[in-house]
Amino acid sequence: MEISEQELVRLAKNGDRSAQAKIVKDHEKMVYNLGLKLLGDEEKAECVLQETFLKVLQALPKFQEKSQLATWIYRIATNQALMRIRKKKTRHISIDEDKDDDGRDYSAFVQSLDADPLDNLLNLELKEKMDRAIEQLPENYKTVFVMKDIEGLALKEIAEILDLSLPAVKSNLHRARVNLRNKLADMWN
Amino acid sequence: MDCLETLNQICEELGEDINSPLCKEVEEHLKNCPKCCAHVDSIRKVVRLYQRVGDSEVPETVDERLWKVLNLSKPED
Repeated sequence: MEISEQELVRLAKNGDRSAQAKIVKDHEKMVYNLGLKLLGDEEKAECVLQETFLKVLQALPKFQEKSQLATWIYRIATNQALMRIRKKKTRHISIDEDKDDDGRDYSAFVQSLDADPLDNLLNLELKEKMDRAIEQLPENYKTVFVMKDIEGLALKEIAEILDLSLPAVKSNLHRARVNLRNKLADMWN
Repeated sequence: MDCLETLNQICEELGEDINSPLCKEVEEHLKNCPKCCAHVDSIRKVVRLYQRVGDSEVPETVDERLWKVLNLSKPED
């Protein structure tokens, strides 16, 4: 029988090992994918996975249940991943790169996406370009893009996890999308 | 381009109902502005491209090491 999240958390807080294991099992894929997409590296994603759940189990007794369990775990995982990103050399973006509309014609690029997106997805070269484009995004854009557009979190939830205002999340998301579109279009040509 | 879908997406991100005055205004503008339509369309397609790659499964060896580090037994499916 499925137990409620509240009950699961209560049991896990009281040291129930199977409740703790269920929490890990239910969220490990989400944490691994967040790490993988933010860091672009399987080894680093594994580190984020282990560090996150060690922290989750350690901090569980202090979890106040003001947010959903998944949101709380996401926040811990995001912090772990961001700490690793920050260890890397900071990269500054130019003003030109950040412009919403650079006046270019993207129709050829868009048509190529229309032509055979599924075949393209099977194309390793394209996948590498997509990974490289996301890797090059500034941290604040990349985090919001991965959370919203890839992992499907709600904007409000992202604002809560990242401790940002809703307008800041929306603005970062828009800039991330434009930035990715521009980078991919450049790589396409 | 699927205009309704695009409009829905814009309105959701604006935190607006699709029938709100602001969304109606956006809809009217999109009807008459090919430049904005092309911009929104290209962004939407890039987002779709990333979404279609999907999530990865946790590799078996990574999973095994996780349970070992946590000193927990993985529950049966």
